[in-house]
Amino acid sequence: MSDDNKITITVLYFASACDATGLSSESLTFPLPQMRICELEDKLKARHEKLKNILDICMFAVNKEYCGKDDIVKEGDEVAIIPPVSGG
Amino acid sequence: MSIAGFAIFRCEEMGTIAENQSLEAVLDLNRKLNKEVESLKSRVIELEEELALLRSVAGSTLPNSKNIEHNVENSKATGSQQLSLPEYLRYGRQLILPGFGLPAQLKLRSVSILIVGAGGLGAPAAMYLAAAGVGHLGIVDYDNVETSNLQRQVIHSEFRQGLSKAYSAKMSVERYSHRFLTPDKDVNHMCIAYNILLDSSNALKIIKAYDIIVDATDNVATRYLLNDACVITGKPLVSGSALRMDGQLTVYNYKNGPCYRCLFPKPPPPETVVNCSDGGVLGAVTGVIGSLQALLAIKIAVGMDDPSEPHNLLIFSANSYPPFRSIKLRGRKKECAICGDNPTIKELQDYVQFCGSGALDKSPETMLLTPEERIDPKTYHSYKEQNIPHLLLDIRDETQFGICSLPESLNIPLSELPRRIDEVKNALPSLKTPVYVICRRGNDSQPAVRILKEKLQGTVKDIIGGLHRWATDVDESFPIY
Repeated sequence: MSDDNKITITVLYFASACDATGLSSESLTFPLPQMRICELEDKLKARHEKLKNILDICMFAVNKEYCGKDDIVKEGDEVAIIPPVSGG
Repeated sequence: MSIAGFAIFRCEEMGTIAENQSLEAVLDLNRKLNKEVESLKSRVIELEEELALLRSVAGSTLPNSKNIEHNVENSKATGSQQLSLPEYLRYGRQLILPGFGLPAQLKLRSVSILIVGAGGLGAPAAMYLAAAGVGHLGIVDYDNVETSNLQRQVIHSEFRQGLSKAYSAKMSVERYSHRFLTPDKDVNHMCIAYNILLDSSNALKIIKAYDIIVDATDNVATRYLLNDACVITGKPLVSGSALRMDGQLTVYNYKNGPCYRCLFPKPPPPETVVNCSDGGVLGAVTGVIGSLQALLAIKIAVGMDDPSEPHNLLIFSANSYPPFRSIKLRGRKKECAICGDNPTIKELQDYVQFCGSGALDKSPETMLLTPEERIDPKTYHSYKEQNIPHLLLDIRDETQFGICSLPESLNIPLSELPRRIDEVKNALPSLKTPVYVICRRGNDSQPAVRILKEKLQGTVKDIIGGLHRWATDVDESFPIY
């Protein structure tokens, strides 16, 4: 039975976000029924010091679809954090 | 020495040996000589080919910053509605593809594609597009070929070091395609090399002349410039990027899809941008993305793209599973500053100012310390020779330290320095022992000095120009990478 008052999500970190966190992904649980992307952004900034400069310029995707900062994250969602890569 | 002269000289050598040594040694030398002659002959052929190509490049009118009105339209005059006999044979393997056929090949021959950047991405993109029979290619690059490019920029070669990358790319592209596409020798516009730095003053003029633009650049400023120029001129932008083991690929400003600013409205702070020269990149990674850029450009050119296919961003991570992930994108953003409903940007801007960094993938020199806080490699070397007690602290990461290092240096990466200060203190014979900090090029060593000065009592200085300058000024046998 899933608990309606908390959500567990998977966060995927790409490129410089992966370097900053030292993680390619992590599973996180929050004591909320759901949250907006911008709220998640704040929580991730608090969790990973080095993400602070990076998150502002990142694109977010939920379950492989682009999403805006006001979009909702729910139980079981996979959130990808995609910074621009500029090298070539 | 000529090959013949060389051979005579070696024959004399062989005679002396024959008197003193066994027949086997003579035969061995004979084999070696034959091998050497063969390799010299093929080298002569290679060089003659290079020379011929160089002459053809030098002989044609090349656009430069003053002469970019070079008209791609002129070169389209040769386009007929039929393939020549050699073309049927040459493109047979793709002509027979269901859904491709003769109409697609004719479209490829009449399309014009501009590739911006003849580096790791532009190299495979240009070669596959030329090989597929794209009739009109433009290649923009302002850099020259360097040794450190060759690990990924497979369009260039050792002999081309110092040559403009745009010309070198043109030479490679024409090596295997211009004869088929321009049977009339007077017309040689198949590939135009632009040895210029693309900026707000010239981008629109060049881009207007092409149907599809390929972003194969290596810096943030040029990416925003190309995006804006493509939105203003209404051209699809096939954008690729690669760094370390990661890459991204998408088509911007195409079929009502988003532009670069829709996804990334704010440029990254310059200090967070890592380039290939500092961060590294595997050639096969740029190869994957550059080849996919060629594929997308071909699909757009011949109209092969599936109308039901959503706009998407492809993310490639060579070290992850799955290595490819496709992110479904939305259409253009209504509030986008350039392609939105009420755009605030109506003409090209100053992108160096907007991004806070230039159109170069080289890191600017850090100027954090005063001259008194620094020491040049030669002076440091003299201290070492005099056995003056000190600690040499190398603050590169472990991987780079593993490539090469100076003897007796202590390695603590810059990122770990604040929490590993005690290790530095423990390594000092006395509280006042001077510490000299070294890194690859003398940039990262400067913030390290600042961190150490707060915690240590003795002199702390960094070595100007880092290990790179050490290799050029003190020890030529030390590797430069």
